[in-house]
Amino acid sequence: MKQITSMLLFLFMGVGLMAQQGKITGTVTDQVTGKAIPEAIVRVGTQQVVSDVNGNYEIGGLKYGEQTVSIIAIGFENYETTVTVSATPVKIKTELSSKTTAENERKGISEINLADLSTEDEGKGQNVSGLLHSSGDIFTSTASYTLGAMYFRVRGYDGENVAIYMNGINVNDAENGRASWSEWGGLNDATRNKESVNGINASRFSFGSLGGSTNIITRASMQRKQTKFTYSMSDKTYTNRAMFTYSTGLMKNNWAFTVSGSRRWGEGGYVKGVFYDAWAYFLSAEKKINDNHSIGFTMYASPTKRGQQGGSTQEAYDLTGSNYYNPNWGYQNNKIVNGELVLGEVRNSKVKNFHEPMMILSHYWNIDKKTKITTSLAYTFGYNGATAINWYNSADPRPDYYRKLPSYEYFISNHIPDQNVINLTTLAWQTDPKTSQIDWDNLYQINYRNNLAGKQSSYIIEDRRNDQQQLSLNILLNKELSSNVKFDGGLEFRKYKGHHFKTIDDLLGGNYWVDIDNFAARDFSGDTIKNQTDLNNPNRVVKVGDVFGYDYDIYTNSGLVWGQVEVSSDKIDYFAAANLNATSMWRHGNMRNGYYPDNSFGDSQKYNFLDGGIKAGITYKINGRNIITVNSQVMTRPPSVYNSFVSPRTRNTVTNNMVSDNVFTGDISYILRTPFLKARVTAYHTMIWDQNEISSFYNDDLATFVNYVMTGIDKVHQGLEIGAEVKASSTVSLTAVAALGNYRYNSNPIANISYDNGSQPSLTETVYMKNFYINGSPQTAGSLGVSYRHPNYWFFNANLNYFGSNYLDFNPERRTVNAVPYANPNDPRIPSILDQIKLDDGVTLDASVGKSWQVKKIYINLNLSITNVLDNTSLITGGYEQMRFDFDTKDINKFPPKYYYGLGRTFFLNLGVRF
Amino acid sequence: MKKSITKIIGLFMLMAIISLGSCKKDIDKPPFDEPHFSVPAGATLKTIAQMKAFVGAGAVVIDSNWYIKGIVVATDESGNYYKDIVFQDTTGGFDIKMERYSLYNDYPLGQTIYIKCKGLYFSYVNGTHSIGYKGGTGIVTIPEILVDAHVFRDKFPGAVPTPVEITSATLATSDRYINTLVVFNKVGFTDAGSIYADPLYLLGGMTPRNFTDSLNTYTIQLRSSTYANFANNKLPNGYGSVRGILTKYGTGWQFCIRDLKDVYGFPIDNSSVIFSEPFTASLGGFTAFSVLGAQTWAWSSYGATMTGFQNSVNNDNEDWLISPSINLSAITTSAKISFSHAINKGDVANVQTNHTLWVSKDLVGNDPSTATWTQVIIPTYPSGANWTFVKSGDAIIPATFLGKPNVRFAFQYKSSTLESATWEITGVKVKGE
Repeated sequence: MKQITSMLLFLFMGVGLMAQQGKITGTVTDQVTGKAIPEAIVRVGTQQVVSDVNGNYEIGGLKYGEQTVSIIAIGFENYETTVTVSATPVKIKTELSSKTTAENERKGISEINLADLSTEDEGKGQNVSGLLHSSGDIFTSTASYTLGAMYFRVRGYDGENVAIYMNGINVNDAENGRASWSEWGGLNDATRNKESVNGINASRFSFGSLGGSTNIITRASMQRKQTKFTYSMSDKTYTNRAMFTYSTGLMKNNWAFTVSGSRRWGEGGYVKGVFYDAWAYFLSAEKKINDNHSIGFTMYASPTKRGQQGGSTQEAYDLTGSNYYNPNWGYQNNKIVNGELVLGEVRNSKVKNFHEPMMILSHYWNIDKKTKITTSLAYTFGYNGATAINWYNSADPRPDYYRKLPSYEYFISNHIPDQNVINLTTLAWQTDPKTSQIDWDNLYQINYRNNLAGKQSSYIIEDRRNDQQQLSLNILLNKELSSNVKFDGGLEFRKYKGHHFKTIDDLLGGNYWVDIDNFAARDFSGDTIKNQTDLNNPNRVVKVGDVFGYDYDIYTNSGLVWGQVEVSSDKIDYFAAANLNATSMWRHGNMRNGYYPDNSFGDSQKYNFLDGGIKAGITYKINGRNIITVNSQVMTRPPSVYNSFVSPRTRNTVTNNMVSDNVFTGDISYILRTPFLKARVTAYHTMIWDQNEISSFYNDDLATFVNYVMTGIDKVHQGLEIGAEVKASSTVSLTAVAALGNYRYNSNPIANISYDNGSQPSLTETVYMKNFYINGSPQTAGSLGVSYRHPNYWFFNANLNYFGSNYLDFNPERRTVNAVPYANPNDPRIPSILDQIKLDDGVTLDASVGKSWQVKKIYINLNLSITNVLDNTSLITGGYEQMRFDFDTKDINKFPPKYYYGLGRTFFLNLGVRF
Repeated sequence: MKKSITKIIGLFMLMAIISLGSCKKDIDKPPFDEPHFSVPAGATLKTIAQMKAFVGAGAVVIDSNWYIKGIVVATDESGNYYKDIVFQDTTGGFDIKMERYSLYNDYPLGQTIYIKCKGLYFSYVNGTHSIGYKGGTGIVTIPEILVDAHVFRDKFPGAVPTPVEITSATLATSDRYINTLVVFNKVGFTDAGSIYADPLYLLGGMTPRNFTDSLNTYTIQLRSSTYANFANNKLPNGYGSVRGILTKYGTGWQFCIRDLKDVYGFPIDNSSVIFSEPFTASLGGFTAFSVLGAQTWAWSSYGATMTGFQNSVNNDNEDWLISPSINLSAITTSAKISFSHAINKGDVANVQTNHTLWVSKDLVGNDPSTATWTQVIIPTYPSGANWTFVKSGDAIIPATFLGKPNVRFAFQYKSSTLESATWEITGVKVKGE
C-alpha cells in the first residue's frame, strides 16, 4: 500500500507547472551497428524536429518538468522516454533497435503472415483480420503477434473493419472488404515500413476504419540501405523460407532501388497435406527529380500455390486420433508390393493458387516545407483460384461425409445399428488411409472406366476463380497550417472488376465433362432448359482450362473524399475528420442460366450508394505522464457486394435490403507513461445496424439448394483493453495485456430463403439470434510476458496466454420457430437445438530466444521461437455448425459442428545475414 | 548504378539456385489397373441357378465358402435403380443391394463381378431373388464397409450379354429369366403419352405403367422411379421394343428399363396434343345423339359407355358420341385420334362394323345427318369378348381436314335386336403437328 501511494505521488509529480523554457539535445543511433540515424523524427509536446546526418537533434523552448520524448525512424522501432526538463539542458542518447530485431524477438509468428495460417472451407473458414501494429502500444502489438496466432481479433472486428493501404492505395477487397495479406506474403523486409493507426484515432493517410488502418510504405528511398539474406525453417505451414532484399537507399545519382524476393516451400506443415509452394518478388525504384519532386514505381506479387486445411467433425478427429486431421487430401499412386500397401504421394484437393501483381506509380511533391501532395496510381490484375473436387451423378468423395462415418449407423432411418459395421468402419478409419482420406486412385479408375464407355468424367478438380482487376488513384494532401494545426485530406478513386468463373483444372484421367447442372439434372429430369448453365451455349463439352459452371463479373466503382484537422496544444489535442463516399455496384452475367434465363445474362441494375462519416477525438494531457483520450465516430457504409447479390453464380437478384449499414463507435482511454511503467486502459462501445448476410447450402427440409439471406443484422461490440509494460531493470521487462470483450448480435433478423433453382417462391422466417455471441475470436484474452535482453545482444521472451469466451458460428435455421415445434416448453431438445456452443477456454505458452552478432560489417541474427510450448492441442479456435439440419429427427448430432484447433507446439527458426 | 544492377542480377540468380528442385511438381496419373480376380483355393464357384435352388423360397445367410460370378446388366446410373445392381450368368440373374451411391461408377455395365457369398443374405421375396445383408427383419443393403469385401471386379468391363427375347409363347416359362436382361418386341404402352414416373403417384416409389403386345395376350408392368433421369419423359405411342430387367411380384410380371435407350423402335412422334378428354368424370364436351333406339351414350365409371342391351333385351340402336368443335387451322402436317376402349358381350364378328369412328368438317348443331362424314379407321380393336381395355392406336384424320377450323369427330355405335355389345371409351386424344 505504501508503495502504491509513493508511486502515485511519483506519477503526479509532474503536475506542478513551470513557465521556464528548457532544452533537450540528443543523438539517435542504431543499436546494432552504432551508426547515426538521420531523419529520425523527434517529438516533444507540440514540437517536432528531425535528426541531422550525424543523428543529432536539438529542441528548445520546452517547459520545465516532465516531458515525453518520442522518436520515430523508418525501419526502427518507435521509441519513447520521459525526461525532466530544467534549466540544465537535457542530453539523451538513444539507441534504436531495428524493426527486424524487435519483431524477431516478439515471435516467430510475426515472420509468418497470419493469412498463411488461415483455413477456408466453403467460405466458413477462419479469417484473420489484418496484422496491425502500432509500435509502443503493448496491447496492440501483443494482440497482433501473440494472441493473433489463436485468431484473436482486436475488439472482435472482422477484417472488413481494418483498412490496409499500400503506398496510399487501399487494398481491401472490393467485394468482401477484407485485405488479403497473402498478396504480399514473403516480402516481409520490403513491406516492413508501416504507419499504423489504432482504432478511430486520427490518421494522416486516410479517413480510417473502425478497427484501425495501416499504410505500408513501399518507397525505395525510405528503405534501409542493406543487403539481406534470411533463411527460415518452420513446421507451421511451410518448411523452408529463403528471402533476400537489396536496397540501395537514396544514391548520389538521386536514384533509389529496392529488390526483394523470396521462396517459401514445403511438402506439409503441422497439418498434413498443407503443402506450400510460393514465390514473391518486389521491385521499387525511385528517382528524386529535385527537392520538390520525386517519382516512384513499385511492383510486387507473391505467386503462391498451397494446400488448404479443412475443418472436420470431432468424430473424425477422434477416429484419426488427431485434432489436426485434414479431410482435404489423400494418397495418389498407392501400390501393392508383395501384398503390402505402399502409400503413394499426398495430394490436396483444395489448392489455393494465385498471382496478383500490383503496380503503383507515385509522385511525391513537396510544394513547400509544410505542404506535401502524394499521388499514387495503381493497377492490379492476375488470377486467384481455389480448387475443389466436383462430381456428376456420383457419390460424395469427401472422406468425412457423414454417411461414411461410423456414427451414420445410428442415423439410418428404420434401421437397427449394427455393432459389427460400426466396429469395421471404425477400424477402417483408424488403419486405412483410403477410408480416412480421399481415395484418388479410385476416382481415377472410375474415370478410366468411363472412358471405355465414352462417358464423361465422374469426378474432376475444378478451379474456382476470382480474377480481379483494379485501377486506383489516390491523392493525399498533408499540410501544416500552423505550428499546431495540421490538415490532411485526400481523394480515393477505384474502378474494380472481379471475374468469377470456374475452369477445369484436372479431369482426373477422364476425357471430358459436360457442362450441365447436376442438381437440375436430378430435380428436373427431362428439362433441357433448366439443366443448362449457359443457354447461349447449351450442353457444352468442356476440357481442362475451359470455363464452365458459372461466369460473371462484379463491377464496383467508388470515389471517396476525406479531410481531417488536427490541433495540438500543451494540454489538449483534438481532431475532427469527415468523409463522403459514393459507390456503384453491379453484376454482369456472361452466361444465360437455365434456371433464370431472363435474369442472368448481361448487366444487372446498378446499385448506387452515397455514404459518409464523421469522427472526432480529444486528447487531454493531465501532465506528461497521464493522458486521457476520447474518440467517437458515426458513419454509414455501403453493403458489401458479397452480401448483396443473393446468388451471383446464377442470377442478378439482390437482397431486399440494399441499404447502407450504420455504425457508431466511441472509446475512452487512460494512458500512463512513466520511465518504468507504460500502461493503457481503453473502454470502447461500437454498434452496427442493418447488415446483411448471405449463405448458400443444401437444405434438408426443402431437399434443395437454397440461398439463405438474413437482413437487418445489428451488432454490438463493447469491452475493455488493458495493456501494461514494466521495465523492471535495464534488461528485464514485464508485460500484461487483457482484452475483455462482449460482442453480440443485437437483433432478430429476417431470413429470406430462396430456392436456388427458382422452383418455388421464397420463404421468410425470423431468426431468433438476438444476444447470440459473434464468433470468430475469443472475446476474452490475456497475456503475461517477460522479456530479458542481455547487453551482449541475446534475448529471451516468454508469454503465457489465455483465451476464453470463444463461441461457435451457429446455423440460423436452428434458431427459428420451425426448428423447435415442441408443445412442452421444457422439452430437453429445445436447448440442445437453440443454445449457442461456447468453446473451451485455454492457455498457451510461447517462448523465443535469439542472438545477434556483428562480424566486421556483417550483422547476423539467429532466433528460435516456439509457439504453444506446452503443446496444448485441445484449444478450439473456431468452427461452425453445419447448415444442414435434419428437420425430421431434429437430431443435432447427425450433422455435427466442424471445428478448427489451434496448432500444437510449433517452431520457427530464423537466420538473417545483413550487410 | 552498374554495380547495383549486377548485384541485383546476382541475387536473382542466387535465389533461382536456392529454389532449384524445390518446385511443386504434378503427381503422376495412376495407371489404369485391370482388376483380376479368381476364386480362392478352397472356395467353390456356384452358378446363380444353383444358389437360387439352394435358397429356394426362403431366406438365408450363406455360411459356406461359396462364390458366384456374373456380368453386370443393370446399374443405378439413370437413377431408376438405387443402391442396387443386377448381374447375370448363363443360368440366371440376381440383384444385389449395396449401401453406396452411384454403384455404376464401381460396377459399370458389362463388368464381370464375383460375389463372396459367405456372410451375405440371400432372400426370395414375392417371386424375385435378391442378395443383401440381414437386417433386423429382412433384407437390407450390404453396409458400405463390407461391399469391397464381398464384391470383386474381374477384368475391364466387356460386352453386355444379348437380351433374350420374351414372347407371348415363352413368357409363361420365363421364371429363369428373372433378373436378367430381356427384350419384348412389338409392344405398346397402355398409358402412352403419360410420363414414366409420376411424383404424385408415390414420392420416391415406382410408378407402374403397363405395356402389352399388339394382340394384348400379355400385360407387363413397367416400373420406373421418380428419381430416374427419364422420369418426366413421355411413354411413346405405337409399338416398338422394350429392353430391360424382368422381375416378378407374386405372379405378376414386372419390368425395369435401365435408361431411355431401352425403349426403341417406336415411331417418332413430334406431334402435340391439341385435344384431350379422359372421360374420368363426365362426357366432357361431347354430345350424345341418338338416331335410333332408346339407349344413349352415357358416362359411367368405365368412361363413355354405350350399350343397346337393356333389361336383358337387345335393342336396335344407332347412337353417335360427337366431339366438340376442334380447330385444326394450325395443323398442316398430320392429325390423329387415339383412345383406349373395351368391347364385350356382342357378336365378335361385328366388332369392327358396329363400333366406328367418323370425322366431319361441316357439322353445325348436333344432328349428324346434317353433315358430311368420313370414316376414320380405328387401327386396334379389343377382342370383343372381355373387358380389357386396349389402345386404339393412331386413327389418322384424312389430310382434307387439316387446316380446317371446325372439325368434329364421332364414335358411332350400332346394335340390333340380335346382339348388342357394350362399348367403353377412355383417354381420347387428338394430336397434330
